[in-house]
Formats: sequence, structure tokens, C-alpha cells
Amino acid sequence: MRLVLLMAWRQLVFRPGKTLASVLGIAVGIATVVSVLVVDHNTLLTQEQGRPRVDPDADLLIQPDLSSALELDLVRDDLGSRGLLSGVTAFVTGNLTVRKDGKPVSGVELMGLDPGASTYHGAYVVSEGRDLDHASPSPQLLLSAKLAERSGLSVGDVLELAEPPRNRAPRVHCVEGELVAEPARPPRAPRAADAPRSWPFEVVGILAPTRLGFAGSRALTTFDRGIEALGRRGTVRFWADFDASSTDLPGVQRALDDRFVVTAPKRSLAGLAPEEKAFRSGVRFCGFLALFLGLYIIFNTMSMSLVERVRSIGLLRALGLTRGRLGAIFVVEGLVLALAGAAVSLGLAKLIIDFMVEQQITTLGMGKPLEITEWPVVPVISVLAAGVVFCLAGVLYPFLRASRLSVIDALRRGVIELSRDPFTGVRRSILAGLLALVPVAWIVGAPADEYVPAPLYEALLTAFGLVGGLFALLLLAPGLLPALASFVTRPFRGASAKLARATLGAARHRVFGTVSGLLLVFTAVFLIVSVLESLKAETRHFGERALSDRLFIKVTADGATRMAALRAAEPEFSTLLPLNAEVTSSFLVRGLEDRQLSVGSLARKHRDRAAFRDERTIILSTRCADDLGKQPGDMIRLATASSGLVDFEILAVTDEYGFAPDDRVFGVVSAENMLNYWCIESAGLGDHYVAWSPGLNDERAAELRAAAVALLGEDNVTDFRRGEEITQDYVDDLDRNFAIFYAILVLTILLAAVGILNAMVIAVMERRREIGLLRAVGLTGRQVAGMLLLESGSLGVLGGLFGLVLGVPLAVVTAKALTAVSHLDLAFELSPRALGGVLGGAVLVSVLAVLLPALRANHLRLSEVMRYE
Amino acid sequence: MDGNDQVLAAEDLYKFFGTAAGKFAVVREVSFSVPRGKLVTIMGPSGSGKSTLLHMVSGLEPPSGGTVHLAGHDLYALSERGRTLLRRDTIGFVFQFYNLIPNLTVAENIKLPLMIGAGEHAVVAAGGGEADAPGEDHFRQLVADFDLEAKLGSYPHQLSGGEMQRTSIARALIARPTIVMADEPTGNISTSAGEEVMRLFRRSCDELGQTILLVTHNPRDAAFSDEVHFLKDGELHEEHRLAGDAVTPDGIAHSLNTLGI
Repeated sequence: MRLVLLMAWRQLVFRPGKTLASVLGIAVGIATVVSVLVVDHNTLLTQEQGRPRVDPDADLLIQPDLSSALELDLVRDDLGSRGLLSGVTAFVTGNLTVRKDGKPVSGVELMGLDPGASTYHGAYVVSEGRDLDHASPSPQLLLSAKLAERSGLSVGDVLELAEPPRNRAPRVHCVEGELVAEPARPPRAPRAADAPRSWPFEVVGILAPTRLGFAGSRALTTFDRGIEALGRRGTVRFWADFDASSTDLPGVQRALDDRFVVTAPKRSLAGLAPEEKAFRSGVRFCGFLALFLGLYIIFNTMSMSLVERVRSIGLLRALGLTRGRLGAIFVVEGLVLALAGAAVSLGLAKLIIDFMVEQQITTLGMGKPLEITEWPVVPVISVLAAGVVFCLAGVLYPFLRASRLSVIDALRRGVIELSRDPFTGVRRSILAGLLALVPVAWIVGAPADEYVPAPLYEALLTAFGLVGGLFALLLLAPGLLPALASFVTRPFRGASAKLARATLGAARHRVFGTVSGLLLVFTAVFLIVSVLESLKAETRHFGERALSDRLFIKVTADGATRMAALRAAEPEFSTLLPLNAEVTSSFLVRGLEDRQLSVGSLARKHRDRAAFRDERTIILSTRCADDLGKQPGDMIRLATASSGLVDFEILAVTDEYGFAPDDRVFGVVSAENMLNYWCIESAGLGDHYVAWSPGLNDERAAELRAAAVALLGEDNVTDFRRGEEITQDYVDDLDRNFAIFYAILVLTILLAAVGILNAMVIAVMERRREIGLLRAVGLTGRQVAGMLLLESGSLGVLGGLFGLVLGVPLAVVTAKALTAVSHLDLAFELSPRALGGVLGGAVLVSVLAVLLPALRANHLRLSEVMRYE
Repeated sequence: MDGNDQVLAAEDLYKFFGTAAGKFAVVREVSFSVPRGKLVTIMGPSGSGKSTLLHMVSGLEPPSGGTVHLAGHDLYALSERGRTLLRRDTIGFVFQFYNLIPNLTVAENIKLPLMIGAGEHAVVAAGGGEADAPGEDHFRQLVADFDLEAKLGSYPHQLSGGEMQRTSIARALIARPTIVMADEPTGNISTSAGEEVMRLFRRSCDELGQTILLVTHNPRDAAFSDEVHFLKDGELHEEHRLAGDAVTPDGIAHSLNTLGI
């Protein structure tokens, strides 16, 4: 063992540059994945913390269309049998009055809960007394701490919950689409039937002020008691969890159909919107690509180590070192490199993460808040372990080669020619296996989605087919790449070019390895740039539909009181109308005055405009309609504030009306319907306003802003932008959001460069006698360098070209896949920037990577090289 | 076949190499033996097949025909691993180009065979008729004999050619091998350094009872031997074999002239 450790250690210490490059290569690969995982984890945590507190804090709330109590059990069974849901728990809520000793002491929100609320969801914590006994026939109650304190109630007390008094003051409220003003009734003598009903309850416990116990006036009881006490006054909903990594909210909604309205209030759903998942999956995929390239480096490094030590290995074998112990030297070396790389990677990951935090680069885009509060231990350790295993896998081939080395050849010639490889089959199998890791990495990195639309599967299969097909072609026709590389050097003349062509023709494995590494990286580069361009084009198209020729103003509540004055101040402000929003279902519904339909595609459709104003209709944004699979004429069920679930007819699908600069998934109803069903006054005050202002230029926009500020006050105008500006901001956001991809791609390009550097160093070492001979017979150092540059440059050209060969169709199917996932109307955009960047980048990287080996080749000691021949 | 007096016995060895034009014999019908404690030389010009012969009798290159008995073992009846272990336990190698491990110091290079054998079960007792494990005393003795005390911490690239070859001979002797096989050990060093190397070989035979098989084309080196075989075109010319007092520079020169070498 001593010899094994000594040999491994000395090899690492004697070549500090190579060791450092190897360790850094591995470390960059692992650190990239670790930092992506840590940032992704904390991005979600930060997003969760940044979201407002919701009550109840459930994954999903499902409101069923219940017309009779009899259906409740059927619905409960139906939901419970759905594979995508878990912990389906019914609860009923409604308002009652707490009475003590016959006198009302407080209002209370009563929640009747299934046992699962406590046992499955942990929805509340009892701080004093005991939990509800669902098997007990006696009515029990848990009170929130504030309610207990305010009412002077404690554990063991008996109280009454009563219906609210019926003789309240007249008021206006929304019922079935109509504002009903209750007329003031003359006082009359009280009758027995007027007496509100009441139910006795025993207080069995006090809730801790967290989760359901956080609300100030809440009492919990069993579901049956809740139904009994609340009757029709109560709203029944279901609380459920779903595996957010395998589906999304629209997926659940589609699966549950129109009998249910699904909302997802829980904060933990941050980052799980379809497009967010697609974005995060892409980031993780890039991270795994970096790890793969780290493997490519260790593979080359250990191959280099083999080539360097051929004579030593031959000697050790001659002196009686068994293959097993020789293998142990390689394994120990690989292990030391891997462990050192893993250790360094943690520090490097910390630096990368700090940089990302500083630059606010998150896995949901750039410019979003990010705070690192914890490192996900299991995923990080898994990646470190995977990195170590990858490194040992990279050692496998060089070890096999070393163990079967001809001792005599090694001693006599001191050279092993990897290109004359008796293990072609083994090597190809290993390479094919390693390449198979790419789709595996994708599958691991991308959350599986049992409700993934068919186009996404098609796209993924096409992508795997393309990658697999190309690499199968290259592996089955090993002469293709060398022939193409020689062809690329055709325009060059002279000894350097001739020698480069001869070398390329004979170095199939190196050509394959280098071109493979480059094409993978630059396919990823092309893909990312293309997707970015597609997204930008889509954003611009959306901007033309929903934003162009409009002025968007956001004001404070104080500013909103002076909007009438603003409308009168400038002609462009005359069409200024408010947008109000209320969260329903899984999208926003905004109220819009029908005057706003006087422009755009509905301007001349008077019947539609009348229907919008007078009937229960809704206009959906294109993305909203895509999400829900709806078309004009379809009905959509919405959960309303006043009337439970109400069906609306989809009048049109367009982005022209009702967009406010925050969310593209929205629906628009008339101000009247907003008032009737959600009791929100749309026609009056709001915070978002939009005005039609065709042909507005920058100068005039600045004047209008000044006028708005003068009238409303600087502090009251929180946002004032033309639609075109918002579009451009969106496009700029995309650039910023993609910064994380570029950051990772820079790291992967760095890794690819180190890989090529190693491959070229091996090539120079393998050929040192040949190069020595050439120098001895008069080839100048410049010609030798030219030969190496031409070799590497031609491989760069091929890497770039094949990157495009793979990248273009992949970009097309990726655009399709993203369209299916995100419901954005994406189309592949062939970007000249991407084309040039990929070709130029691949050549540049390969040429830069060969500079050091070229320098080394020029400094070979000719006498020594030739003496061994 | 291999009595106590014969450490190595090769019988009827053939080696063919194939080319596009067909097979040709590099070594033909070669039989010879190396008695214990003697320095035996195979002499021949470049391309005569002497290195191939050495590789075959050391277990590095399987012959196309014939047998090799080393330390009582039929070498090619053993598995590849068996031959490796037999090499480890019975042979010390000296090469023309020293073949020192560049990452190890002189001391570590000398002790390399001990490190390779450390903790491993020996298939054959240590050579020289002694069963004692080679130890630190033997190492110090060799280092002193080979004048390497001042260089123990140096790395190979810091040594002269003579020093490197002395180091490689010390490495070959450290494990008290049954036989030392030397392939052109003076071919890459100065004449004076070469003579010094051959004197060291001679001393190890005379004083330590070391058995040595030397392959060389240098008559001066061969003159240090107890026995000289001549190899030409892959065949041993036993009628010209020199032994005992007949091994003199003049006798070697005469044989070479007669053979037209």
C-alpha cells in the first residue's frame, strides 16, 4: 500500500499545474451543480418568505359545486381517489356569534374540520387543553388564544355559538349577479321564530397563535358539528396536497374539470408555475452539463497521466507490480483528485453563490431577492458523491489501458499511442455510456410531469433521438470526423497544414473526444441563445397586442382620488380608466369599464360589447385560455365572493384588454359584474390605470408624466410607462434572467477548454518524438505551432458546426416544448448572433486551449527526445 | 533440467514476428543456461535478437516455441500473474536507459522492488541462497558500494548517466534476486562509467554470489563475464561459446571475427 500511496502522491505533487487544473476542473463541475442547487433551493425559500401569509396555508383549496349535503361524501370519495391529490380533507367555514350566559360576547369564524386537518396537515397546534375528539358525540371547541382572551373563556367553559342577529341595519350586498339593497324594515314585535338558533359547545382547548390559530376570532370544531351549526351559511371546501414536482396547478384544474374550482394559496408553490419549472429545469440541465464536462476533464487528465508515465508503468510491471496494485495507484490518484476537487468545489460553490446573491441571480431569473439561509444537505452530498463517482469512472479507461500495456513497448519506446487503441470497443462503450448520462441528467434535472402535454413528450423524444442519432453516427463512422477535419484544413497550404491533415486523419479518438465536448457545450450555447431570442420575439409580439399604444399608470390610493382631474388635464388622459383585480381560481379577474372596448378588435363588435356589459361574460387572455384549454363560447366556472361558483361565458380570447404589468394570465369582466359577483367597485378608484394613446413619443410621454406628477404629486405616481417601454423592460428582464445560463455556460466553456487543453497536451506528448524529429529536420517552432493551431482550430470549426447541426433542430423542438409547458406562443428564431457566436466561440476556445501545448512542443529538448528513439 | 547449479535454463526457444510479408524468426532454436553465481553474457550485434531473447527468458515476451525454466519454475506454464510474481521475486532488471521513476528519489528508486514486494507473499525465497529478508543494512551496504550516499535524496533528473545506472544496478540488487538481467547496461554512459558498472557486476558475483545475465554488444563488457554466448541472426553459435579463462578480450575478438560480427 505504501508504494501505491507514494506513487499516487508523487505523481500529483510532481505535476502541480496538471493536478491543480484537474482539481479545478472537477471542482468547477461540481461547484456549478452545487451552486445551482443551493441557489434554486434558497430562491424558492426566499420567494416563499416574500409572499404574503395565507390562511389556511394549504397546497390546494378545492371548492366543489355542492347542491346537496348528500353529494358531499361522494365528492370527498371522488377527490380522495385521485392519484395526484393526497390528504383530501373537508372543512366548512362560516361566521357565528359567541354567546356566554345568554349574551353575545364576540363574533367568531367557525371552522369545522375533518380529522385529517390535524393528523395529516398539522393545521393547528393546541397550546392548552386537549385536541378535538372526532369520535365524541359531545360538541367541542378549540378557541384561538385571542378569542379566548377577548371572551374571557378558558378550557372547560361551556358557551353557545349562535347565528348572527337577523335584525341588522339595511345594507347593499351582492346576490346572484345583482346588488340587493335591503330596505330598512320597521321594527316589529319579536317572535319566537326570529330568535337565532344556538348550539352549546364545550371549550376543550386553546390554540397556539400559529397556522389556523393565528386568526384572532377563530374557533375549530369537528366537521359534522360545523355543518350542523353553519348549515347553508357555511362554505365547504377541501384541503389537499399535491406533488408539485410532478404536476402544476393548471394540470390539477384540468384533471378535476369544471365541477371544482382550484386555488393554490400555499406559499411553498413558489417557483412551480410551468414556466418557472421549465426555467429551473433548464438551469439544472446546464449545471449537469458542467458536471459531465468535469468528467471529460478527469478522463483526459488520467489519460494524460497514463501517457506521461508509460515508461514508469512498464518498469513497475517488469519489476513485478501486479495489475491490481497498478490499478490501485490510478484509483488512489483519481480518488485524491476527486476528493480534493469535491472539497475545493464547496469553497468555489460558496464564491459562486455569493456572487449570485450579490448580483441577484436566482433560478427564477435575475433581479429577484435572494437570501441564502440553508444548504440542502442531501442534494449537495449527492452531487459531491456523484462527482467523486464520475471521477473514478474517468479513471477506468486509462487504468484498463495501463494494465494491458505491453511492458516491452513501454520500456523500449516509452510511448503509448492512445490512437492505436486495442480497446476501441470498450472505449466506445464507455463514451456511449457517458453520453447516455446527458439524457439521464435531463430526466433527473427536469421534474417528471404526469400531466405533461403530448408536445413536450414529442419534443423530449425528438431531442434524445437527435443527440443519440448524431453520436451513434459519429461512433459508427469513426472516420467521418477526421475526414471532415482534414477537409476543413484544405484551404491551408504548407508543411504545417499537410502535417495537421495527416495527424487528424490518424487521431480518431482525440478528434471524437474534442469535437464531442465542443459540440455539447456549443449546442447548449446555441440552444440558450435561441430560446432567449424566441422568448424575446414572443414578448415583443405580446407587447404589440397588449401594450403598444397604451399608457400605464400606477398610483397610490391618494393619487386615485384625483384621477378625474388628471383625465381632464390632457387629451391623452381622457381615456384613462382603472383596472382592478381580485384573485380567483388560478388566475386574476379584472373589472373593466366597457368604454375600454371602444378600441381594439372588439371596438366594432357592438353585440359583443353589449354582452360584455350586460351578460355574465368574460374575456380571457391568450395565456389564460391556453392554460385552461378554453375557447370563445366555452363556459368557465369562477368562485365568486357573493354567489359561490358561477358560470361565465367566454366572450373572446385576447390580450388587448385588461393587462396590468404583472401577470399575463388573467380574465376581464365588466365593472358591473365585478361589482355584482365580487363586490368590488371597478368604475371608481383603483391603483392601475390604462389609457389609449396611439403614436405617443418619448418627448410627449415625458410631458404627460410631468403633468401627472404635478397634479397627483410625485409620491402618488408609482409607475408611469408607455406600453413600448414595458415591452422593452420585459425584453431586458429576459436578458437579465438568462444571466444565470450565461454564467453556467461560461463555466462549462472553461471546462471544455481545460478538457481540450488536456487532450492537446496528450497529443503533444504522444507525438513528442515525431515533433522532435520534425524539428530536427528543420521544421521551425512557428510551423509546429501552426500545425497544432490548425489541428485544434479545425476541431473547433467542427465542434461549432455540429453544435449548430444539433442545436438548430433542438432549438426548434425546445421552442415547441416550452410552448407546451408555458403556453407561450414560442417560435424558433434563427439568430445570426447565435450562429456567429457558436462558430466563433468554438474556434476561439479550441485555439486558445492549444496555445500552451504549442508552447510546450516548441520547448521540447530535442536531444532527449531523439535519444530515446 | 534445472539442477541447483542452474538458475536459468532456456531450451529450443523460437520467436517469430509477423509482418505483411509473412512471419520471420527473430530467435531460432536457442538453448542455454545460467549457472548460479556466474556472470553470463549474450553477445551479438544490433538486430541479432539478443534483447528479444532477454525478454523471453525474463517472462516479458512469450516465446513462439521452447521452454524457459527460472528458479525451478517453468516460466510459460505460469499465468501472466504468476510470471509477474516470479519476476518480482527472482529477477533484478538493469536497462540501457536506466528506467528510473522520475518522481521518486534515488533512495526510493533503489527500494522500489522492496516496496513492490512489501506485504506480499513471496512465491520464491530471496535469491543468492539466502532466505533472510533484505533489510536496511543491505541497502546501506549497496549505497556505500555504489557511492550513492550523497545522492539519496536526489531525483533522477539531478543525476549523471553513471549515477543513474549505478542507482538502477543498486535497485536490481536490493531484493537479493535470484538473477539480475542486464540489457546493454553501459550502452548509454561513458566508457569509464561503463567500466565501473561492469566492475560492480563482477564484484557482486564474486563477493555476493549474485547470478547475472548480461546482454551486450560491447566486447569490453563481455570480458568481465564467466561465460559468453554469441548470437547472430537469432541463433546461438555454441561452437564459439567462451567460458572460464577463455573469456578474454582477445578470445572475444577472435570469436567475433570468426562469426563475422
